[in-house]
Amino acid sequence: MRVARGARSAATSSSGDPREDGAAPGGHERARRDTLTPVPSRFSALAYLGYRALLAHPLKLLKEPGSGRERFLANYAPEGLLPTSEDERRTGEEASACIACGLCDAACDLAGAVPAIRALGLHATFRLYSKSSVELPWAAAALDACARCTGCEGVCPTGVPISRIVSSLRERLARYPARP
Amino acid sequence: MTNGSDASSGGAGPVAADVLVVGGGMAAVMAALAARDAGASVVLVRRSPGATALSSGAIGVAPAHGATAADPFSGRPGPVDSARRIAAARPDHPYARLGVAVGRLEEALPFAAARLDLLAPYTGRSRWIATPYGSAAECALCQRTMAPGDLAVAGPVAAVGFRGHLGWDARLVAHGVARLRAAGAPPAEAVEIDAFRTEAGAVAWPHELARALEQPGAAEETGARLREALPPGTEVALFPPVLGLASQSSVCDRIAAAAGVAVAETVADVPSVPGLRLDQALRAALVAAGVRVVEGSLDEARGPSAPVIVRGLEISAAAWVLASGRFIGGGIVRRGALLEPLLNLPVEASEGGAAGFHLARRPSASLTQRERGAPQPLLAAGLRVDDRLRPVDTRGRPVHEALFAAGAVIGGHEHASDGTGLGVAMLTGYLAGRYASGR
Repeated sequence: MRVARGARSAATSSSGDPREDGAAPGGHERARRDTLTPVPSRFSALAYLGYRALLAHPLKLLKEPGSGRERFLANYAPEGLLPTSEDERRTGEEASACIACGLCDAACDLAGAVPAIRALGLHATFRLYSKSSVELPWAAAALDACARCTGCEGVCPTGVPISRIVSSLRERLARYPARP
Repeated sequence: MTNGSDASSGGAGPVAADVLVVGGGMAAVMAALAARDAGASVVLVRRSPGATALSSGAIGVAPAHGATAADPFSGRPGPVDSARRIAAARPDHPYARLGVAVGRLEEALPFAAARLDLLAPYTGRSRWIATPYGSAAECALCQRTMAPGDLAVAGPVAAVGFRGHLGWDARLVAHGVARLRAAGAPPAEAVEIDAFRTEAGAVAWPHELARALEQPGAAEETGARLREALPPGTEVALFPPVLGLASQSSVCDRIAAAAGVAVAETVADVPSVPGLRLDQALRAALVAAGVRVVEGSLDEARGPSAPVIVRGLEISAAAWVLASGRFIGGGIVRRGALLEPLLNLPVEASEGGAAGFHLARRPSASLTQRERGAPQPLLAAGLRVDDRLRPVDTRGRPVHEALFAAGAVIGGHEHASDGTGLGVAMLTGYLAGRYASGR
């Protein structure tokens, strides 16, 4: 078993040859050294990375065809995760400026909503459920009920572009993977 | 230049004005109205309603310093005297920064009351309006719908709740008013009436109740039910602040006529129907005064020396008033440090001993104190201004001769909690408008 060169030299310099000096005072030092994780040398690490990059990964790609996006979905869609575009990320940041003041509710129609959604309001719904991909389907009823009246445009005191966020979330929800 | 509102503003030619006002709340509108009143041409760029729309709907100017609940309302100092006391006690407060000009509250308050027609006239003394939480808010100005409920002068009160309306409890209000008897408040009782209950349950939102009351016949029916439920001897029925969504709404008068008793509202918490009305009145006042309103946000600017472009419209003005608010309006932002994002003016995080520009570079979390009543430098953060309301640089010199600031973007006061928020907005807005117009 190999240990890092630094660790060995530090140990040996303090207690001489550890094999001959097993008892005190280097005994503790030695017991600790034996439990250290083996660290590969620089050469073997680079060689392993080279092998992964040049051989193993291309072979794996041959075996699993499809774009990066398809492979992402194959891996993560079952967990309810979707790839996030730069636009969606910006939208999410803009949505986080919401302070839940409710000014937009007074301008919001939510005509088609069931009472529970009406009572919650559109902004609360997207604020509650849009932060995590996994919870996004819970906002579906509110997003559906939005009548696209654009009454919320320009009423947000912190400048949240509400109707843009709603259409972005709706788009994202349309791409949401069905449960297997 | 052309007057009137311009919401679209696309395709128009360059606009030149004497004064450009940036902001959508009380301070911005006061600045625009005061500059217009002084004869200047004014353009106001507004992204959305300001924090004014989230306010209680009444205007607190200066709470009487050190008064206790038992001190009689009649013996307490008026708003302008109280403002002078605040200026003397708190050197970082905008009232103190203004020097003797704090006395011009005597001009600014009647000016505001005359331009915003939903406000009751300024009387020179404070009114005491019940809150939804059983206390009384000291207001220099209030909406006409609140004025009959002034606890300093009102006769016996009944707090009237709509059964099932969450967020406004008639018993809490009545109990709170009754506890203020020593200060001169009238006796109070609580009643509840059934109205506007749907099959699915009570009408949930204040604005929905307000809208329902504006329907033909709804106010009259409410008045009739109120007449049956009122305890004998009641002179004022105190309602939740939902009596109509429009600033010109007649709901209050219609209920009063049908019930045969004076009707008043309490002040509001968010979501605030009186705040929405106030915002509506601000916009109406701009149109009436001939201020050109451009809806849009100003993202990049260099100050009065260069023109700005808002939604394709090029605007140049000799003087600017920055009334962009604080954390809600976006006049001051937290991005690691505290910044003024439009012109990158230095921000001071202060109130009390350790005021300074250096504080604004510290992490926000280090600028609050655990004890709620202690000064919170973060919440008092904003621009530092000279006595002519010009933002100053770190050496205390004005950044630009013709750049003025008004409202919550000025630091030194915790505008959301110290009871001076809208008063500072009215006074600094009024003065900044006057200074910017050269008067």
